[in-house]
Parts: sequence; C-alpha cells; structure tokens
Amino acid sequence: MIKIAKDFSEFPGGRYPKDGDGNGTDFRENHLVPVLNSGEKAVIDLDGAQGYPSSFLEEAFGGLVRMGFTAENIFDTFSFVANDPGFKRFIDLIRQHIERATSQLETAN
Amino acid sequence: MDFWQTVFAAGLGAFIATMGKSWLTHIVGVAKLDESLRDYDVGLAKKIIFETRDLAVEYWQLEADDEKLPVIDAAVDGRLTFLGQLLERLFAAETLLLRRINLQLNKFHDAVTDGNFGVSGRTAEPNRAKRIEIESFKLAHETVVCRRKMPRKFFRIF
Repeated sequence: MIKIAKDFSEFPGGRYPKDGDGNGTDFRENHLVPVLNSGEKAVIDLDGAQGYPSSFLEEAFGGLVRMGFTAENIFDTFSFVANDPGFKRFIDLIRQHIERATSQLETAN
Repeated sequence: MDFWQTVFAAGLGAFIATMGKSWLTHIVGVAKLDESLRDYDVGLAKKIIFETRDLAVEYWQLEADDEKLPVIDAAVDGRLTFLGQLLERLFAAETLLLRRINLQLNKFHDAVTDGNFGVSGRTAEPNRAKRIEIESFKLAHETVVCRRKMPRKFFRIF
C-alpha cells in the first residue's frame, strides 16, 4: 500500500525535483518504478492529500508510459483507493493521463 | 355514549389531527430545507468555479519568477479540491449525474492545472485563458443542468 499523503507528500505538486517536495518525478522514481520493477502489485491510496494538480499526475503516471511501461502493465500492477469526498475523480484523471500518454507515444512512433 | 365519552373522543380526535398536521408540516418543511440547501450549494459551486477561473487566467499570464505565483497556485488547488467535495456531496445520491459532473470537472481541472502548472522556470501561457473560460462555463452549465435533473424532494421522513 502506498499512501501518498503519508509516504510521499500531503501537498503533491509540480513535475520535476526543482519544483520542490512532492513533485511528480520523485513520486514516480521512488514509489512507482520500484513496484513495477519488482513485479509485485500495490494499492495506491489517494486520500489525505490536499489535492492533485494534473501536472503532477501526468508526470507521475504519464511519465511511466514515456519510460517504457505499458498501460496494461501499469493498470495490472496498481489499483487505487479514494474514499475522501471528491477524490474518486482523481482515479479517472490518472487513467486519462496514462491513456493519453500511450496514444501520444503511439502517434510519435 | 355519555357526555364525557363524547368530550374525550372529540379531544382525542383533535389531538391526533393536530399531531398529524404538525408531522406533515415538519416532513414537508425538512424537504423544502433540503431543496434550499441544494440550491445554495449550486450557487456556491458556481461562485467557486468562476473564482478558480479568474485565478487560473491570472496564473497563466504570469511568468515563473512572479512572487504571486505560489499564492495563486495554492488558492487554485484549494478551490479545486473544495469544488470536488462540494459537487460530490451535492450529487452523492445520483450516480449518473455525479459521473457527468466529474467528467466536466476533470476537464476544467485539466484546463487549469495540466502542462506546466507548478513548474518552476515555466513561461507565461496567456493563450490558455480561452480553454479555461470555455471549460469553466461548461462546468457551471453542467452543474445547473444536473441540479435540475435531480428528483425533487416533496417530503423527507428521516
């Protein structure tokens, strides 16, 4: 279980390390990639954070696609929990960013 | 039936009628209050949508070194999170309407915070104003339409 607010940051935001704590690159590199490389599965708990800007979600999850992980691999590895009011929609946003990054990659190739 | 039995029966009838009327008034009144609160929430949601729009338009006009940016960034984030909570509470009982609202809310959320939102060293993108404006009005419209589609409450017992 990866609880973003507790294990990473209560204030996720920004894309790159230069953008400060809670950026998408650090979350991807330190929390998502190790799980994908291990072949295990993980639940990502979105509750407790103050919100998720699209730029953070795109960098963290869309970035996985640009690193070479397939959407199928990502969806197979991670499941999501969001019980805070108004947070379920972030799961849809994550899916959209993964699918968008996949189609952008396919268009580019 | 003697006199006192008649008086007792009439008193009991009047008491039951009064209690029944009070109870009906109460459940209709509570339902009216629920409807008023829903309308209030829609008004509040529209206010937050357009506040967020104004902040976002200002945000994307500024260059990365402007010292106002972190403040606007936080104000936008806070409003978007609150808006999601407010709309989910409003449409919690109507799954299809909530789904419609969340689809449009996510488009607005993307218009405001995708790309280089929160990225240091970014350049201003004043052209995003058009997309932000369009998605904000679409969200306001969707909120009003979905509110009108909610089944109206005429009474609520509990």
